[in-house]
Amino acid sequence: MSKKDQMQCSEAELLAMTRDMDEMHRATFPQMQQMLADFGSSLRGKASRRSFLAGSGVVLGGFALAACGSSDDDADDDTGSGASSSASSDSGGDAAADRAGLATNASLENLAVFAYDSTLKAAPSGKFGAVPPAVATFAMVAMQQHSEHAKAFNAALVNAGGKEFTEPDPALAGPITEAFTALKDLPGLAKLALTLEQTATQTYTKQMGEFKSKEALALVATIAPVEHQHAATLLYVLGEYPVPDIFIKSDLARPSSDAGVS
Amino acid sequence: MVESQDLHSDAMRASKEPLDAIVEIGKERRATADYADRLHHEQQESRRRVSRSLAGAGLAAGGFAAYAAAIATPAFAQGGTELDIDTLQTAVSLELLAIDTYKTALTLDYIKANKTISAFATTTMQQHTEHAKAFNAKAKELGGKEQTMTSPKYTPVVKQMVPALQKGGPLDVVKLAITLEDVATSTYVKNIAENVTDPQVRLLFGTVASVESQHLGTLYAVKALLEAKLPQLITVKATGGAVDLTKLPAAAGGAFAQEVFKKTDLASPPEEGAVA
Repeated sequence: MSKKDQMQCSEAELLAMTRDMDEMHRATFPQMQQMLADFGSSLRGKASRRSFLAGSGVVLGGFALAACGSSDDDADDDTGSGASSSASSDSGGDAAADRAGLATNASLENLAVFAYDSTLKAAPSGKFGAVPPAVATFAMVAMQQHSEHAKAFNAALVNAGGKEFTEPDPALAGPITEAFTALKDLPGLAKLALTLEQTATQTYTKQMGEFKSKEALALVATIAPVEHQHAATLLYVLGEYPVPDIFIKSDLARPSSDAGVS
Repeated sequence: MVESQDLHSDAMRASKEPLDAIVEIGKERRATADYADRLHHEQQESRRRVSRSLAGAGLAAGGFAAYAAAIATPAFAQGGTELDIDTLQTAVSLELLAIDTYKTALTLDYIKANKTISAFATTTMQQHTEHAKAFNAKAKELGGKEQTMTSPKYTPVVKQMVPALQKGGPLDVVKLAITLEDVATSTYVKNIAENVTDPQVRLLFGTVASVESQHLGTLYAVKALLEAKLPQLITVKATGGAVDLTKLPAAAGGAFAQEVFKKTDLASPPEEGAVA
């Protein structure tokens, strides 16, 4: 089967779609690229991470990957100390908690950009079988929107006295990289992307009850609905009803401490 | 309609749990000293904001005595709560109008003839019913009255459109539904960002806003497919089989999510559907 058959939009179209994002990808995700290049090194997910992908139905190699633990002490050593996400009644504590959440949100957006970018790069090789043009368009649109969301979360983080967070979520990067590498077809890809979108929506929704600053609240309020529209698209791609839940669930929500920023 | 009922049953099973969880979280938080501290802090902040606002309005001199008396009363201390109740009642009025609109749509022959659109209208109507119940329950919990009327602003608009819908087609209904879902989503997003003070009320708006945004996104996609004369691609497994992705136009991939950030231009103000 030729590349053209595998990726039903032309290779020229695909190249045009990915060209602009390619440079950003390389500049933004050196750590993730290294993880993909040396996949073996990413196979060190901790046992407490298992519930993440298990809950979403993504199964890899006969065992369910799971949720990267939600406790602070589960943070990888290289991500710094666990964030202080506990509620605090003083404004300094509130600001720190908001910063931790904003950094985690930027990390989730970075992870989503990485996933969609990797998808567009891998599609011409036939890794997922034939990729219809509408699916390729969705991947491009979603990637661009996640990129804008990451910029917005980082801008708010800087405004709140923090530093930009340019890496993918430290707790999820390993399992997602592992799952992505094992993908063999379009439904599997759509399910993995759906998990990322639902994780983002649920995390931001949970933070609506936690954040204190207006800027942080405005961001999660205006971004969560867009992530959920991405999820609706992916459900439709999978043949499922696009609005399955009456209220947003919380089983996939990440703790604000995920990025390890305090 | 069998498919519609299946979809509805699945949706109902899937979604009671989060609402229950919110209620439980609310009870737990209200039971803790930490929650009480935070609420006190927020009420103090609310008083400071109103103080600054009144001062800016020139009331600090002539009206100071009244203002000083006001901040000493429990009623004023619940100023944030009053606003929260207003937002919840207005939200109910939007949900009730959405329910009525989908109910009307389901009487139209051209809607009944399309299994997937009919299933969407049925399921969405039920989801809005649950949203209305949840908003009313929260309003009552905060000491407000239940809202039982549809949106005073948009109800006359919808009523005026019904005769045209009866002579029209699916696209007319879809366009109207897009407006109503956009108003609801925008209103809840703005409430979270600007109006609501109780974190649990914000959380409730958050758990509903993104569902409305999925209704909105789905309607955008349906509209795009109707305009492209591809109604056969409006299908899911439960209604007519999964869509043939190879037949979708490339642009359809971007149809669901048309805004990078949810705009709030159409947001209804908190008082629009408040019950006196």
